[in-house]
Amino acid sequence: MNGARMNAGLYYGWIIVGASFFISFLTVGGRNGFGVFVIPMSTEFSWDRGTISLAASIGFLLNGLSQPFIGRLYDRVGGRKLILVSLVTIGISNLLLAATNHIIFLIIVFGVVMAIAMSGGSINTTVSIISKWFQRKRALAVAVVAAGAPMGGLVLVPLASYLIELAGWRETWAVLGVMVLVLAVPLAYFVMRERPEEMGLMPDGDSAPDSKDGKPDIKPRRAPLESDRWATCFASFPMWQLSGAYFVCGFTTALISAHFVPFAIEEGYSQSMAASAFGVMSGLNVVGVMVAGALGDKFNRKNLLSVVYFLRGCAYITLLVVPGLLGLWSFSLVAGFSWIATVPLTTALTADVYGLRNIGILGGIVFTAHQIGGALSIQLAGVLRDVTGSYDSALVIAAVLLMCASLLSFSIREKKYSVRYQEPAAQGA
Amino acid sequence: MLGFLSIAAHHGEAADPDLMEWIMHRIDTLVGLDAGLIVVILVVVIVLIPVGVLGLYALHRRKAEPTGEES
Repeated sequence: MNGARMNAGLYYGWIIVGASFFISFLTVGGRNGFGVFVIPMSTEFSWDRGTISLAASIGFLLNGLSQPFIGRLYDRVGGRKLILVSLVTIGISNLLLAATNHIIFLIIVFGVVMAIAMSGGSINTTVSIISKWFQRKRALAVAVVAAGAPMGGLVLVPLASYLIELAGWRETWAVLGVMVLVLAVPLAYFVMRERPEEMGLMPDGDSAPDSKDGKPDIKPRRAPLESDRWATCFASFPMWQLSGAYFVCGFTTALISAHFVPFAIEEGYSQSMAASAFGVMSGLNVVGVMVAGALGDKFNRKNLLSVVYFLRGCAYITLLVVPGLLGLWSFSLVAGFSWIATVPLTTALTADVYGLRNIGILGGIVFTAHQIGGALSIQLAGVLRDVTGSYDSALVIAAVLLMCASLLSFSIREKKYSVRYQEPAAQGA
Repeated sequence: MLGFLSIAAHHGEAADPDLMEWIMHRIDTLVGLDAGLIVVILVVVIVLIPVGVLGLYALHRRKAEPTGEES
């Protein structure tokens, strides 16, 4: 009897979601903890903030730029091998960071080796696997994995901070490395599987329809714009709609990350009020992404994506026009809720439209657009602040871009191009 | 080159050191636990996630093995 017909228990895809969640939790959450190492390391080596931040800056850029190449590697060698090699590299890099004795060493290990390895173990890689295991519940499954990153930050950053206080920064790097090698690597080794067909299963744990020869047909459905060549997909319009909107997502979230606290202080709020509002915003990420994932499986995904961008645009307008605490907190609530809600919707739409054949490189390209938007906004907002004396012009640009992203997402012809809306009988070979 | 790389400096430094110091102070004030105890609690939370997932994996294997459905 085939497994596809008797999986009455927990669908194996959810176990893969659990493992992917933990990989995001440990790797992205751990990387976000770099800030807590800045003061103890710069104190010991007499580095200024700019010098030590150089390692993080190079890492940020390399991580973003390497995504399409790592995505291509994923499409060729598969996600399980890529994730395992990346996790081992990340773990060893963490251990090596415990022996840091020069800024060049830090740049090479953290800024280059670890940043590229992070791409291999990134959400882009894990959700590419998840997309193969889920079709109907794709957005929710991706949302759970995406939620791992902010939750990891909430747990690992305080952990690193307390460990530094108790034992020192070298020991803390070592502990983070051991956790990756002892907890994440075995988990990925035992649990990760490339696709449900390997286990005789169907996406979402559905029962397989019988084919003509009487055997269950477990071949995955082909997406309308799926192609053997990724360049063909890249040249199609939905790819640019998704990437363009995701560029705006990166632009507007990085703007908040880098400039929200200085903006709030300039507006006359205390540092503790600014930090509280920022903390609430960060905490709401998890709620927003889970709601977006759950709704994304029930409703039209491009409409939801459009609503998320629209709401974030309204949040920016509120920050500009509503004075006082009401404006600040309204912005924090709405922007926090929408912060990573775009991830499951964008990722699921990319897989729905382009299929799974080149999902690694296509997801990598979309993610790179996000990172370019982020890098650009941080610089632009800083320059505009220096020239005009306030952040208002940067906030106006963000609000306008978000409304454009909302329209861009709404204009995606999901019913024509998404596999969700294709009749199984109409599927090509 | 260094100026260009400074574009991402804020973003790479996701946990701003000053902000983190303030947050840690707030946690200390609110929770009021010893730092060592907080570390133990956080480590237990972290370890429980993979242990839970591996537990589900083991259960799945046990259910699947008698029928030989897994390759």
